[in-house]
Amino acid sequence: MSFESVTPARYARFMPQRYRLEANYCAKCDLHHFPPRQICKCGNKELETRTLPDEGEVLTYTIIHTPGSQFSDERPFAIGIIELATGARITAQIADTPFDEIEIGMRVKIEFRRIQTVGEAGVLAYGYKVVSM
Amino acid sequence: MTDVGIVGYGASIPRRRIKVEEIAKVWGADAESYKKGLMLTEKSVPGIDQDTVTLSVEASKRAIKRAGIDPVKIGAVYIGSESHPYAVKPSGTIVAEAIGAVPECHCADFEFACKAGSEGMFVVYSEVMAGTIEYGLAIGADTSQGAPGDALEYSASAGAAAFIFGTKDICAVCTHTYSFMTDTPDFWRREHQHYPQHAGRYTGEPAYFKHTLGAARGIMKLSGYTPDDIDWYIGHQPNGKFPLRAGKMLGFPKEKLDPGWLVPKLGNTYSGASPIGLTSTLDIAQPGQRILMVSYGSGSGSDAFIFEVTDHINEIRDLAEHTLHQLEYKPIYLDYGNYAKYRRKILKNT
Repeated sequence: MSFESVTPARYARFMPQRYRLEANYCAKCDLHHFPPRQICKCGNKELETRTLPDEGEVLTYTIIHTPGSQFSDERPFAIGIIELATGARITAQIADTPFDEIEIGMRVKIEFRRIQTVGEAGVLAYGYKVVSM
Repeated sequence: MTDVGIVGYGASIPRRRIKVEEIAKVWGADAESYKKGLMLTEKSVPGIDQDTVTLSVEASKRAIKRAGIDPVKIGAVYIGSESHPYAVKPSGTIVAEAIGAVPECHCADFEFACKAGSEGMFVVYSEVMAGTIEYGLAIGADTSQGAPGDALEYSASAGAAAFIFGTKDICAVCTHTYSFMTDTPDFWRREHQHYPQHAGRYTGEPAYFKHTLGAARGIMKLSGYTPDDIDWYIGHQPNGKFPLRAGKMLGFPKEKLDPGWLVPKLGNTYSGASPIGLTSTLDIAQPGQRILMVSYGSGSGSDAFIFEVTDHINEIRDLAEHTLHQLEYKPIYLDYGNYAKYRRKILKNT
C-alpha cells in the first residue's frame, strides 16, 4: 500500500496487514500470501488467515537518497526486501541500523512505527519497519 | 479473595540518545553543573518515526510474549501519557488494533502528568479484581519535550512500559494499593502550548516529596510493612536526585533502588518513568521478594503499589528483551542539530 494518498477509509482497510502482518496461507501449496489474496495461484479459495512471524532475513536492500517529499526528513534511509516466512516477503524500511551494518542475510525484527504523517492535520499513518537484531 | 497481579510486562526504549554536554554546548550552559544537579549524563530520544503509540505497541508486544496469552482476551487497554499523538483520537485504539485486542475491549487514554501510566495500572487492577475482565493492559508512555534551553530539555526523554494484569500465572501479585493526591500547581501545559511550564523549586518539597512520601508512608502503614520488609523501591524519576533522596528519607538504602533507577542514562520518561523502573526490577527480582513502586504526577498525586514476586517470574522474564539490555544496546548518539530535527524543534517556513 502506498501512503501517498492516505484517506482514512483506505488506511483503515489495510490495518490488518499493516498493523498485525496478517497474511493468507494456502495449506495445499504451503505458501503465505502477503498482501493477502482471496485465491491462491493453485485455485484454492480456502485460505487461512495467519499472522506472520515478527522476525526475518534481509534478502536485498538499497539506500534511498531522494525519497518522496513526505519522507524527506528521514533521508537517507534503507529499504529492504525481508523474508518472514515461506512465500511471505515484505518491503520495509530498515530503521535504527547504520548502513555499514546492513548486509544480505542479516536477521531483523518487525517494529511498529509511524510511516507517514499527512500534512499538519491529516491522519497519522502507522505500520511496520524492521530493525537489526 | 483471588490474587490479582502482573502476568506479563515489557518496556520499549528508543535507541537514540543525546548527551548533556551536547545540549549545554548549544545554550552556553555548564554541562558539569547540570550533570551534577540532575544526576544524569544522557537521555533517550525517539526516532522521527516513534511516538507514544509506537513505543506502547512495542512494550505491549513484549508483555504479551511474557504473558503467553491470546490478545483477544485482553478486555481493557489504557494508555497514560502527556504526549498522545492526536489531540482528539485515542492512542489506545491504535495500540489495541495493532496487538489484536479488538473489538471486545474497553479503551481509554489517561492523563495525569507523569502518573498517567500508574493510573491505568490502578484501573485494570481494579477491573480484574472486580471480575469484569479476564486480562487488562495498562501502559505508561511518553515522548516528552522540554522547551529549548530550559532545564527540562536536559531530562525530558522517551520510553514506555506495559503491564498485563490477570489472575492466572501471575509473576507479581499486587498485594496493596494506595493513592495520595492534592491540587498542587507545580507543572502544567496550557492548551496549544508546545512545552510545559514548571514552578522551579516548588516542584520539590511541596510537590514531588510531599506526595511521593505521603503515598509510600501510607501504603506501608496500610500493609504493616517497614522498609526492611521491602526488597526493592522504585520512585518517579524526574532526575537522578529526587528518587534517591526520597528513598533515603523513607529508609531504603540505595542498593534497593538500583535496578529501577534508570534515569542517569535514560532521562525522565514521564508517564513511563516508574513503570519502566518496575520492568527492570522485575527483570532481576527473585520469587518471594516485595517491590514498592510509587509514581508521581504533577498536579499532583502519587499511586503506590506493593507487589510480591512469584516463582513464575523465572519462567517468563527471559521471553522478551530485558529493559536494561534495551537501554544499553547499541545507542545511536545525536548531535543537537539532528536532535532538534528529530524532536521537530525546527520551524520550516515554506
